[in-house]
Amino acid sequence: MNGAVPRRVTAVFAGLVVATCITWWLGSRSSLTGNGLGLAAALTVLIASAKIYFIGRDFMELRSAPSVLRAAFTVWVGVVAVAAIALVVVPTS
Amino acid sequence: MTHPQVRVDPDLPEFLWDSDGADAAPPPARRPAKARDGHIPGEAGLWIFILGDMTLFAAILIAFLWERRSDPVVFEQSAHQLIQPIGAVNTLVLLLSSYLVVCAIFAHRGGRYPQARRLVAGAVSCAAVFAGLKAFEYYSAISSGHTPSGHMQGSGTFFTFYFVLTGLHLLHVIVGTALLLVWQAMLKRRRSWTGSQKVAEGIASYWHMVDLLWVAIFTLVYLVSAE
Repeated sequence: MNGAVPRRVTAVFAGLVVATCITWWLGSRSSLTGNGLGLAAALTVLIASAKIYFIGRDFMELRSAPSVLRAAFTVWVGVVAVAAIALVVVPTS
Repeated sequence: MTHPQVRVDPDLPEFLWDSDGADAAPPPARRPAKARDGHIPGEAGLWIFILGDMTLFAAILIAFLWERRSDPVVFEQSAHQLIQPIGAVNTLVLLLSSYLVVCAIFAHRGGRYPQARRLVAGAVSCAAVFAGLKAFEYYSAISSGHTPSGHMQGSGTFFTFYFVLTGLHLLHVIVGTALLLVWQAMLKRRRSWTGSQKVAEGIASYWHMVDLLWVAIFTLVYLVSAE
């Protein structure tokens, strides 16, 4: 291994920066959530979950980790994302 | 001439193989052990800690969202009192630091010690910027009458969660920075990748965890609560 950073990692970093700007923009557009469905909030959580997944996969190098570790991380991201979206979107009774 | 029957089960130890005589045919080669299907960055035990720590933060964040449902208006007003641009800039700063750490890992692997040291120093600088901005944010919140004990009427619960989550996270940033400095000292002594792989990868993984936890905190406390 020559120690060069793969282009994929740099592309993921660029994608994470763009995704952060998008979620920031979504978060500052409160009017988008005026429909009571918390659509923008759910989208914000979804994008953040994707960011966390890519940090794990490409920065933490879980991409080449044993399947058990990859699965544990993916399950964590999935469970937290679903729970957060449910708590944000489902209206209180 | 007939050969004695040998019942071979490669998964069992040889003494359990069923043989009828001493002149039995030589046993076939044992099935190779199942190859390990990947590389664990750092020590395996560290990942139990990382996943456990992530789960602790997840539990606090879920409790935060649960509390938010009981009074979304107060949570929204409280979240608007946070300085959102600082949270966003801090997210970008930690993402940059994580990228620098990835680059440092590759530089260390390639034996480029001075470059790796500069990259780790860059990540430490990012951590200092993060802590500085966080200190300013705390000063601003406390000046406005918000405290970790949440005495301020109404917004108390929100700010208790805010201080607990960001305080715990800041503690992780401080520990992570100390670990980055340990790695930098190893690079200064030109410790080879072979001899320091587990430590370097473990420190990098911890730092990325600090980054991803902030992504979750920024999203739920600063953005979603304000919507």
